[in-house]
Amino acid sequence: MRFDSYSFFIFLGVVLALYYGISGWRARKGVLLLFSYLFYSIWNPPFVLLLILSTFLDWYFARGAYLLKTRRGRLACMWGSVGVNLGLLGFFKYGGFLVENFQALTALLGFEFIPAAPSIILPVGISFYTFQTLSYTIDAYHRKIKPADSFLDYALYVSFFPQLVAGPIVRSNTFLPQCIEAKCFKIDDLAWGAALLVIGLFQKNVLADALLGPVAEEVFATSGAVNMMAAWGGVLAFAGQIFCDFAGYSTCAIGVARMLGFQIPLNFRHPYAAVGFSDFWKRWHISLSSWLRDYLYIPLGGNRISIGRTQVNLMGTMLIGGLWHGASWTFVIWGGLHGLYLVVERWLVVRFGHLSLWKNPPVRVLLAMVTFALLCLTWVFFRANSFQQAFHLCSSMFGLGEETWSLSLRSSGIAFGLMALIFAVHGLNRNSSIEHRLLTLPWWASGLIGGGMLYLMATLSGVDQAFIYFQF
Amino acid sequence: MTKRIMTAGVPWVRVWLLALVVGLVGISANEYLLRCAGHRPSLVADPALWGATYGRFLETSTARSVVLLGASRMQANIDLDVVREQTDCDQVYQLALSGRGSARAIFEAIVRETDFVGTVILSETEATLVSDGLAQAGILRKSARAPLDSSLNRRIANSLQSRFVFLNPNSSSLRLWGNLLIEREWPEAVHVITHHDRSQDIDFSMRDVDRISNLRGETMRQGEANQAPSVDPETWMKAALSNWHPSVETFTARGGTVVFVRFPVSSQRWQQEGRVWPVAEFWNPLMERLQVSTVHFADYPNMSVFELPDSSHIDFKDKPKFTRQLFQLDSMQNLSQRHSKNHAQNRSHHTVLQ
Repeated sequence: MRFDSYSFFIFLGVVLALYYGISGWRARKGVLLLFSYLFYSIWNPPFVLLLILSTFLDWYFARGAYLLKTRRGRLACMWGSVGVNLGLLGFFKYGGFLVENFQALTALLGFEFIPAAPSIILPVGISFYTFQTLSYTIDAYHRKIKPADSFLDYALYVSFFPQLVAGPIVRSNTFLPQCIEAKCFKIDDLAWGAALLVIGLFQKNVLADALLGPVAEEVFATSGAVNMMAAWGGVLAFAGQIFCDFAGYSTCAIGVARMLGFQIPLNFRHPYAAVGFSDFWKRWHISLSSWLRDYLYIPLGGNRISIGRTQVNLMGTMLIGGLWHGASWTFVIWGGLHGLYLVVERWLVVRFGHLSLWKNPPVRVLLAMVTFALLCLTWVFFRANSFQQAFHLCSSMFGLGEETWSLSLRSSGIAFGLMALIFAVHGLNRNSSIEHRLLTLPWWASGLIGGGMLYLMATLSGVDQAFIYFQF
Repeated sequence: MTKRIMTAGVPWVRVWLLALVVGLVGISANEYLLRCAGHRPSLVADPALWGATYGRFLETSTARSVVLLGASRMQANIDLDVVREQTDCDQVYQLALSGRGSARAIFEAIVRETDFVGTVILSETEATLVSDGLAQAGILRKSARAPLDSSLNRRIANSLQSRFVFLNPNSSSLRLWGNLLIEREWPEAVHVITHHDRSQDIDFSMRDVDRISNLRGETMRQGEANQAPSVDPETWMKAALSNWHPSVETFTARGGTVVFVRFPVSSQRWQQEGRVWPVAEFWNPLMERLQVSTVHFADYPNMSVFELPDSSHIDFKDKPKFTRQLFQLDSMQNLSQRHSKNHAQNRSHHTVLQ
């Protein structure tokens, strides 16, 4: 069920009425869990069994990883969880990709291997909830958390519908303590949550789908070479589209959770105002980047071993981060480019980081622009249908392509104008959040902005599109 | 714990009331202005609407049903009520996809994934018969992944879109205000209306027909100047047969009927197209090899009497007459006989895969 569907509003109305209408905190959490399974099963009912299986297994693995007396037994439970979760993820998400690449490899070696075409359907949200359950078991093994006493609380943590299918990836120490005390109805929570839902849907439906998406589609659907302006226009539009789409989803998730009295951490903090790539990853998809940092980069040694090993760890983490997004080499290249940027940045910081020049505001703006331009190159690989298209677009961005196709004035205006606006908003709110900014406005200004958003959402809907991150 | 954003002290009731009032006033003004400009409500012909019709076909079609496949000509030129009246069929499913080329992928899916044995009427051209048909395949893939709530969402969307103009992306506020503020004129009303059964009405009285004709004429002059490359009939035949023969053969062997229709284009346009694709060298030999019923407008003078303002679509007012004439042709006449026979046999059809 999508947040931007009519059925979701009916669903949400029923959930809110039941959740706040019945007495008994346990029963209310039961309602949330039941409706979370219903929410998930709308996509593909059998896959809810996979979610329940994953929940059960990690419940026992985590208890074993925490409670068993021997380190060996605890370690076995932790690796059991890693094996099962990554096994499921590998089968559903990377099965086809592995077969395809194995086939290509055998062809390269001169053998003919024609396997049956695997028709595996990817369960929606599997990348998100497996990472969530994995973090729970690993934290229990390291005794950073005590496993939940209540299975109901734990099951709700895994399946909580607002963030179940596309994050944010919530840690158990953020969510489980919120399950202890009963949440009473607060008009503040309901109103603010609804406001966040409207902001998120505005980002998704108006900015991403109606304005930026069609421009990106125009450029990325072109088979021929495009000129420099068109290439930049298309890539800028996609940079805006993916931010508004994903940040929009996260804002909706945070808003819906808030309507139910729960707090979910921010997933985006004005990423296009980042100065450098380590700063970018503290601002973009924060829940994934912090997950990769805590459960991959640091266990690999982080920056504690040697400079060379740090660089290898950075690159490895980003390559896996790229592959997490999808079973395609273009995502691996996307991750690889981010890894390369981080490696080079680390080297530059060691050599030139001490200079006072970097604190100069105009220089910082310039650095933010360079960061954004380099980021745009990575988006080409993220969005391109093939390497050939990605290389064509990159060469066009540097003015090396054959100029045959240009973007219309209207589309160029939308791409460059809207991205300049997004860039400015991110820059001006670098150390703040839109939410804080909105709450400091006079009430009538908030009302007018909200009314404007409602008007545009109703009258400027784009082509019906699922959230981009559903496919991951 | 997550840092809690402090929302206490905000007069939420006032904020939300103002937001709702502003939103509603804006939407009402938008609707009023669009209606003043001649815009009318229309369903959005999106993949979800197609998916709903395809789902209905999978669930309810019988041996007496007719499926219409093709692109905009099929979707806009055929009156479904007249088809029912002329063929004695029980259901007509409009599965043509405007602007998306060949319907080969959909036809193949019907042959492969169902045991449908009714009638499929296909609108193709010589060019689309040898194309890859990927555009329609994409819609088919998309509709196969429809979630369980898609039917409910579709019903609500249909009900609202058939009442309010502002819900149509072609009558968006961006277009309205863009035209009013920059060009200082009303946005031209959308002249294509989509109905619940996916049939479309093109109302050319809402458009500047002279401008459309001039634009079309200009395009054709350019086409003539560029001289369309000649096509080798043998190569074309090989490609067309490999595209269509297996599925047509399977479908007809199990009792289904296929009719290929080449819809009319303006005489000026046919002067050009007919030079590249002479009927005797391309269309007719292929249909003979496929052993299917066929209608090529060039073979029937009474199919070319309709006005085609944009050179390939007829006005909605001519639709019933055009459909009646089409279904009264010899090639189409045996459809009604066949349906009567099937009716007598009362053969039911069940979907194999959905």
